Amino acid sequence: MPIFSKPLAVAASLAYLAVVAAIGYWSIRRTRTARDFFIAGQRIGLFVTALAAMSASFSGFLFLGGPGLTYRIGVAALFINLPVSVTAAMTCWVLAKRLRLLSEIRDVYTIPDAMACRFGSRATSGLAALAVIVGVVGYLGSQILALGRLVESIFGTRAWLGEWSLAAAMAAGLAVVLFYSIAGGMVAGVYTDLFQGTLMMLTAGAVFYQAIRVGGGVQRIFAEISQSADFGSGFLEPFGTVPVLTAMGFFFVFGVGTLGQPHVLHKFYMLRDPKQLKWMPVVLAGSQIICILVWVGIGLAVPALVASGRMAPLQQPDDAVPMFLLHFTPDLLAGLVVAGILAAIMSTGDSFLSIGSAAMVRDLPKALGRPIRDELYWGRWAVGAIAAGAAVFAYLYDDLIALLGTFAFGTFAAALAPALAVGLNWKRVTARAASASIVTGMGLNLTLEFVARQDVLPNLPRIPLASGALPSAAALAASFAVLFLVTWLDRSPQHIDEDVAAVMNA
Amino acid sequence: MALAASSPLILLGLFVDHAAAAWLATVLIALQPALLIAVGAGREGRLGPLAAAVSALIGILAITSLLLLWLSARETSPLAAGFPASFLVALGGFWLLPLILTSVAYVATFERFSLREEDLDTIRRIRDQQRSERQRLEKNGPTES
Repeated sequence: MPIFSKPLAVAASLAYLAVVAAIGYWSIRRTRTARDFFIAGQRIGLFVTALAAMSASFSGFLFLGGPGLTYRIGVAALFINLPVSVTAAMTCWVLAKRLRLLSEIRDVYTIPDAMACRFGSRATSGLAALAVIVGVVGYLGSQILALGRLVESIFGTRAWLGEWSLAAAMAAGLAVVLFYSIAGGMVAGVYTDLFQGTLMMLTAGAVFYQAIRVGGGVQRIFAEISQSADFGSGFLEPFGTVPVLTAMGFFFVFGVGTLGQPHVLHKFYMLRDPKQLKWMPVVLAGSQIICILVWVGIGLAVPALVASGRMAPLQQPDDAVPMFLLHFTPDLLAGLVVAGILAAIMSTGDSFLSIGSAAMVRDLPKALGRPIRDELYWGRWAVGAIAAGAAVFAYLYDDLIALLGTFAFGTFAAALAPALAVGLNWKRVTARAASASIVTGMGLNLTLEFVARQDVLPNLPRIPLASGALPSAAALAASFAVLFLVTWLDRSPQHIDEDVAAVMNA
Repeated sequence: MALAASSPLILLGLFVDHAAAAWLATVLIALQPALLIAVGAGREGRLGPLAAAVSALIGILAITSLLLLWLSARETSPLAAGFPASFLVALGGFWLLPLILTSVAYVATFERFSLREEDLDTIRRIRDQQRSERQRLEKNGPTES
């Protein structure tokens, strides 16, 4: 039985899609320049910026993939969320201030722009742009995959489209994201983010309450899981079902790696006044914590329901949320949750399309010495190209939403976090060190992921990672190590422009 | 610099399949956010009013990671108020305490340490100089000096 059989759920989804399409249409008139398209004209206040950053960072990964991953590996999956306690303040201390002040004195729209200002190197900013494009294709792919799985669940397309169901569902959802991203760029993005962020928080609070209520309270949920033969007490222990290095790898990649997420970081350029950064960690962390309630609530309630025999074991972990909505929520709440999930997916999707198109039509051409004149026009074409590439990649990846998301998050983290976080705060870091770090992080993450997943070359030796170690954690650590090593070895003279030095001194 | 020294050691822990290496990597990974805050929040290598908060954060993260490793090495995990003790330790030490500590420290020191009025004055002065220089160039064209 698809969620389609719940008329209120379908009505809420359609109403949601109508609102975001209307915002996209309204934004066309407000998007006149590349500055509007890429950083919303730098006229956004604290709450909108914080909610835009939150809704960009939390996605289908959180709302659909998270509970699915928890169903598979237990509370170790929550190590992806625990670092939220420090990431908001850490990001503000380490990067938000520098990026926002940089945008006072330079025309910076993107993260590769910031690299170009700091290191004065086209190679470094070009490599950063390449990393952005690679990461965007992977991460956007996870959003499109989540969107496809959700559309399948809502409309029950598997029954009448068979093997073409997922592809058709992904294409249908993508069409709406493409419409308002191409039309409105970042103006549409931030205002839909405001609407979507609010919706996500409302949904998260309501669904958490429902999940705990249906599960019979927190203690009963814990008791049923720990007494179950399928899950057991290890399911509830941080290192119970996976090796220590898996859980801590999540903590590392999703904690430190936050400093390399361009779709979140470039929101800080949009803030109207740098002084508004004072309350940013409180608003950002607060909104993130509310949204995480979905993951925690459904992630624990579904195993408890399966353990007590009230829900059939899931055929596929990513079905945790759709099955919960279908069988354990009133129609209206199911509708709200479906709209909230769509909001989470689309708000992240449009941010990726924006930064990906900026990397393609602005950063890479500038790095190659061939800047494009009409960035706004070509930016809209680039959005379409990136979306198509991401959809194909997601379809071929063929795995859990959360695993595809972890790979993509890890690509950004390993490629960009060390060069940005250390490079914008320590003047000794050289352009060569930053470039070497980006190449190491991106190259190692892609290589380790490919070698771990490929079955085309059966004789290719496995890379000897320790038991449970995540490829993206190894790539991130290697990227940091290379940054420091090359900085110490590189004796070439380096110059930092006076205005950029002032930003680093502030 | 602790951050620089820790990354190759973490890498070692991720490639060497040995319990001691995993423990080392675990503790160092837990400390990374605090070390990065020290790098980003410091001014000329000093943490000023943030020194106590960053030190406390390092202590909390180190103790939590060691406690989790110790609990995970036991045969059975003890329960506390019906919940696995390791779950409560992770929630308190990796989530609740760091959240309160970093949020309060950030807001309390923002104006006097993180972003001072004189910092903004400097940036605004540079911006105004750049603008007037651009306007002069647009009006007169570039001149040789």
